[in-house]
Amino acid sequence: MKRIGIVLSFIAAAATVASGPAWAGVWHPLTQKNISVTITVTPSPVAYVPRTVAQAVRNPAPQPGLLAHLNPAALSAYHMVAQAGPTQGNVPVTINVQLDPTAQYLHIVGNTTVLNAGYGSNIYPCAYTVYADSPYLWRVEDWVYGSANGASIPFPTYAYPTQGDLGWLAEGITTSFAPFANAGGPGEMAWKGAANVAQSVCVDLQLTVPSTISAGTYSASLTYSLEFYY
Amino acid sequence: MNARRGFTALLIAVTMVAAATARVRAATGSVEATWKTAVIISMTVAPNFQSGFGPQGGPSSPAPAAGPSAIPGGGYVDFGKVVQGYNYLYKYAAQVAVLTNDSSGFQVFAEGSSDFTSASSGTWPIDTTLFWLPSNGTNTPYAAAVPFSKTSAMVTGSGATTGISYGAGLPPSSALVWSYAHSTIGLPSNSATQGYDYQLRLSGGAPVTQFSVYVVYTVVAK
Repeated sequence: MKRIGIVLSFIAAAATVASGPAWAGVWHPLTQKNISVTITVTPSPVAYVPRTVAQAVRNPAPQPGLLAHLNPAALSAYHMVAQAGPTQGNVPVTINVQLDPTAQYLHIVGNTTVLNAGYGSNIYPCAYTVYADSPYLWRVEDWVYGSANGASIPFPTYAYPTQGDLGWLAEGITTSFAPFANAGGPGEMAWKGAANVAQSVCVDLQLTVPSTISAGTYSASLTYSLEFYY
Repeated sequence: MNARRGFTALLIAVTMVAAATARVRAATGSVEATWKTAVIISMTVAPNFQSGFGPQGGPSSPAPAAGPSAIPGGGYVDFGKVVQGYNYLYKYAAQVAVLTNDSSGFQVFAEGSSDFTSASSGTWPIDTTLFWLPSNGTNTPYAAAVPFSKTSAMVTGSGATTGISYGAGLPPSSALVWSYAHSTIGLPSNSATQGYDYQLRLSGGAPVTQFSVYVVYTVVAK
């Protein structure tokens, strides 16, 4: 009877260990990956309402020299004429792509990383896909480049406690957009998975461009960190 | 008789003086000269233009080193071995120098002659992989940068002579990399220069192989 008790105790202990989370383990970082998105904010269409041809004829631009370029016969002796052809030069670029040894645990495939944005809310379905897996219980954490010290970091990420203008939604896991954590690492838990159960998650992005932002090019660097529990 | 000869000689002399005076008056007339000034514009592009050129990685990426095709002032912008899923910044990738007498200045455009191409794995999109930004000591692999696009115009030449024919048109405005509003006459070497860093954003799904592409710069007088 005593022997049976010992065996049962061992089985219970083994089951506890095997279940992972119930065991008093800790989270260990496995690998970390980044993805950058470029944001091109286009000017407000209100500022670019085109004139009709009739309006343009009635109110020609006060630069007859420019108009003359449209008609070579109208060129006077005082116009400067560009030479026939533009000149060119080229730069050869080469890359030797190597396998990422940690890609089997975490990698990101960009789908839409150049985000053309108008003022207001813009949504980019499946901007990129995050693949994660681990032999142990795992979790993915994310954050956007930012700072907890209130440093002056510009649109769209800003710095904690100012909320950023870039949000994310993990398809099939979350149901609404949430702003990226912008206080630096370790960020926020995005999703988790069981041991040896890989997940490929499409991440939708939402970018809100306030009217105070000038048209131009901006960037955001997003970091994903994979941790396992052991 | 002598008096008549003397009077005749005097008459001839007065006539000659009058004629000479008339010629002097005619020489003071003005002439209006007009001309067309042809714009002179030329451009050179130099890869690896400054010491310290080559790739840099982010804080978590494997340390990169320029490949063997990168040589000072020429060769390739050779990122060397780069690992899937990481970003890299290639410092001092290319410098554009333009000489022009056009007081309105010029515009420089840049496009890829193709996507990245390889001998074994087909192509890989340039517009999500290769980006540019003006050279600056604060640039990083994650800094804001603008993508190069694959041209939709006709590609001419091959290898070192690779170019793009825009016909009677201009390159697309999205390919603009530099706009300059003055003549360069009077500047050092009579040319204006602009350096560029290149940024590589390598997808985790990029095939493991060697890829290459030509970035073609085009200068157009304003």
